[in-house]
Amino acid sequence: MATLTIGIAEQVVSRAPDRLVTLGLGSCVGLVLFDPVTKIGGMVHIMLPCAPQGMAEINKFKFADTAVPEMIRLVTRAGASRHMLQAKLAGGAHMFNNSYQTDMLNIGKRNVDVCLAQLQAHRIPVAAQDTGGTIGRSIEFNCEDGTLQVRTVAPKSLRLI
Amino acid sequence: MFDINNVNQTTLDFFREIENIGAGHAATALSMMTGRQITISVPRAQLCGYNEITHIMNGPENVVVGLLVGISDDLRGFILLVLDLNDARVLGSTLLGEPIENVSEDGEFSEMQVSALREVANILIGSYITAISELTGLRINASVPELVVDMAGAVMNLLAAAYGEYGDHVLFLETQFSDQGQCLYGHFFLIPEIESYQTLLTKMGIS
Repeated sequence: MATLTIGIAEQVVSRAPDRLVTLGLGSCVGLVLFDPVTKIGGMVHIMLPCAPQGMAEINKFKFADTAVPEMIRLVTRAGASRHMLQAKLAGGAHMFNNSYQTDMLNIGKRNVDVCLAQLQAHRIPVAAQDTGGTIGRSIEFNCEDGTLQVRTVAPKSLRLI
Repeated sequence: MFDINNVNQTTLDFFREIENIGAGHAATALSMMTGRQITISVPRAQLCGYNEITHIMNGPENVVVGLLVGISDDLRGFILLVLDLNDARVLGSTLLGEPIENVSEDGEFSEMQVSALREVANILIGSYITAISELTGLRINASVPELVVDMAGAVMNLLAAAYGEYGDHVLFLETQFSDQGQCLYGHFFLIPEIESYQTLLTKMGIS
């Protein structure tokens, strides 16, 4: 079994018995797409809701609107069945409540909204989500049983979704 | 237009100079408040990638204290001050003149400690803002600092949110404060809106 760690705006696709990890999600969203039958799953660490228009080269995994279709392509290419795909997501917190300039600070909610809209558009059911709030999260996806472990430090908590 | 991925040496020197002046003011103010001799080291100013930022703070899961101030007027954006949990404890207790209390592992501070830390942020960030104002003649208004205790990665997502659209780097400034042998690191992130970066550099005749 390997534990694969995913950095900001990166992705990894793997299969059971591997575990996929991303640490310290604040407003960022950790999204998992997996097929429970073949036990193939992919995780991406998304930073922002929408890719800027008219830019020649972008990292598709940075933005929710481009990361979702790209992840579908990657997990199905690895052998996951398109119609078996399910999603789990965590993160999208509102870390600061600063009174002005709420646009930038509210990025967490917009990240989640765009992820959910994309998943719906691609008809992928959301099996579980732990999003929003004001706390940071670390997540670990178990390709074997499809569980997503969500860990927080302030306050300390650990749960499976 | 300002390019966050391509910041030259002159620009970094400019930010180092801001930091030098700002940290100098801050050390004086902290010395006066605490009645102790607080000195500063040579500051650092550098560009780093998103995944490197949290390494500076000992990894994305390390618990840190983030103090955020919104800035407005001629410059718009944020200044984020990040302290290691232990350093924040020492600073808070020093300001309150109390022995360094044990803060619970999930980083709960007493109300007094939170307000002491807010005061630290006011002083440190205020000193930076004054330094920038003095150098550039720009008017800058600052909001009340907001305090968050959480994983470094989560706290620093703000930087990713601010500049993710423009590139893969952020500007990072670090100052080391020493108090009679004890070292504290203050990590500052200047987070002006991309247009404000341009304003700042144009004003200094750099861009």
